[in-house]
Amino acid sequence: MATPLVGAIMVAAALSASLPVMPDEAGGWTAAAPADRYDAQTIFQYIDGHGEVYLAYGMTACLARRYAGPAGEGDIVVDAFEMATPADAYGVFTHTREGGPADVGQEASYGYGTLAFWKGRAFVTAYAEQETPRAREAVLALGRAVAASIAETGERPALAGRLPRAGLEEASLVYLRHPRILEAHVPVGPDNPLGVGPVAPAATGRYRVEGGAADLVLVEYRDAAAAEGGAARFAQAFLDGDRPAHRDDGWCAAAGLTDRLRAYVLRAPSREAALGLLAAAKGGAP
Amino acid sequence: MTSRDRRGFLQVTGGAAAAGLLGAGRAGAADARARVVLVRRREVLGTDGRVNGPVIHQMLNEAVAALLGEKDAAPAWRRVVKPSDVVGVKSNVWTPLPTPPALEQAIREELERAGVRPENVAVDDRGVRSSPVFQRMTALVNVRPMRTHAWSGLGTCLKNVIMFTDNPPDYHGDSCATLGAIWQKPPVAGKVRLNVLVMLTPQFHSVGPHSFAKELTWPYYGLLVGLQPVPVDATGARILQAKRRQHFGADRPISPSPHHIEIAGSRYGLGPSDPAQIDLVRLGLAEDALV
Repeated sequence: MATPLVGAIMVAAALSASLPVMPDEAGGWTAAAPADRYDAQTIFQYIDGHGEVYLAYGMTACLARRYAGPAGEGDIVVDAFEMATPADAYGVFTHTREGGPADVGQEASYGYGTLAFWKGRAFVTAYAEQETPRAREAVLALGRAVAASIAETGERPALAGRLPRAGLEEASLVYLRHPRILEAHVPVGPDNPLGVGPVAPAATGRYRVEGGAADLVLVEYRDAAAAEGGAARFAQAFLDGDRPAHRDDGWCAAAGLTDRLRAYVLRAPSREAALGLLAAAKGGAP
Repeated sequence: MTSRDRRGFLQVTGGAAAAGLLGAGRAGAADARARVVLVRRREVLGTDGRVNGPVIHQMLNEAVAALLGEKDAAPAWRRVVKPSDVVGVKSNVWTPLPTPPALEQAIREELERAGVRPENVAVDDRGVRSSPVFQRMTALVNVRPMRTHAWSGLGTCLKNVIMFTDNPPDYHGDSCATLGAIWQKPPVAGKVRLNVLVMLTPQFHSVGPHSFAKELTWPYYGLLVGLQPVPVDATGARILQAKRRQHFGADRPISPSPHHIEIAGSRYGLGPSDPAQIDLVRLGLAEDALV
């Protein structure tokens, strides 16, 4: 919902149905120029060194606009990414979120001067280069204005809902479909042993279990054969045959939940904790 | 080069300290001890955050002298490079936290003072593969700020050479575990004479698309200097992890795991990562050193 702080004039910069419109001003911060537009090839000119994160979620376009604040305040930068699907927008949000929840878009976080939210196929951030109470309000106002310009909403991927809730550290829940993103959250080693990818999305979370914490990764494969292949690679890398095994950083275990859905536990403090988490994952499956 | 110069030079490039650089893969290289110098001066940063050029130059010289056991900087630098060298200074231009130009200039001046001809020194980052000086370099000085990084966990001296590769994403797998391999291949292999990890305002956590927020940096006022990359990076990683513990109030491991540092030591022989094998020489400010 737009706030009274938002300027009446909006820039017609959106060229794609799911890209938002950037306001000209909000909360005393004013844009000096129209939004810049980037695509999957040019994003590296704008995001120095980290454009691959967005490509890993199927980014197709990015709008970026800088706002100058009142005297003594720093700039605010708003970046709006159009992702391949709402699930990808949700996924990049889960990968990126930092700080506490915020009431913007379909789900949002705010921390260290940065608002992040997703809505439909859009993932949006607003960043205050110098965080002050006034800048924080402007960041939220800009975010709400941008969110209001996005008509589309989307569903969270069902796979994320398959993760059991008991013991889950909510902020650790990440939805992904690229091995680099999985590696950023769970140390699975080289060569993508779980076989995650564009047609094998995964949801992962860190769980409080007896004696410490453990990772649970659910992977939804394209078909039963792909699931069997993924399970075999995981078993070779982490298990003793098909039985739980202790590796350098804890216990590992695996189970099939359906013919296409596999559950993997890593870094569990004990065999019992690993099997308990697998049992919880099975309980969450239909 | 005089016989004394040659002898001194060999003490750097052919000695035990350099075994990991020139003898990558040599048995026992990761077991050897390494010296790392941490120099900190509060006055290196002004109240506006600007880097004081003369102070950082002095810090660099103090560190290089202490690293090589010399009383003065000049003879130490003459052991780092010889006048006939062609020297590439691999910098880092990442916009929010670049290598300070004043430090680049200090390195350039010391290389020239050691006898390297001005036309045989170049400072570059993204353009190293097309730079005429880098293309004929015989020696490399590696200098960059320490920060958290989306793929490698930490932006380290080890990672700073990735711009020499044909396709940097080839090294992004398993959280950049194989970065050490770059150091075994041309044009990097055997050429790195000095690693300088800039710890003036290191970044201990990342947020948002631009991976930066000023409040995720802090004034540490330091430089870490060593001959091998692994002990330098490992020491920097310990400092960042300690800062994260202090900031978050709990252990929050660097994510993704910066295991490329340990692997570069154990698999590629680029020096020890175990603090028990690192002789840390401390100069200057001791307060809040975190290591």
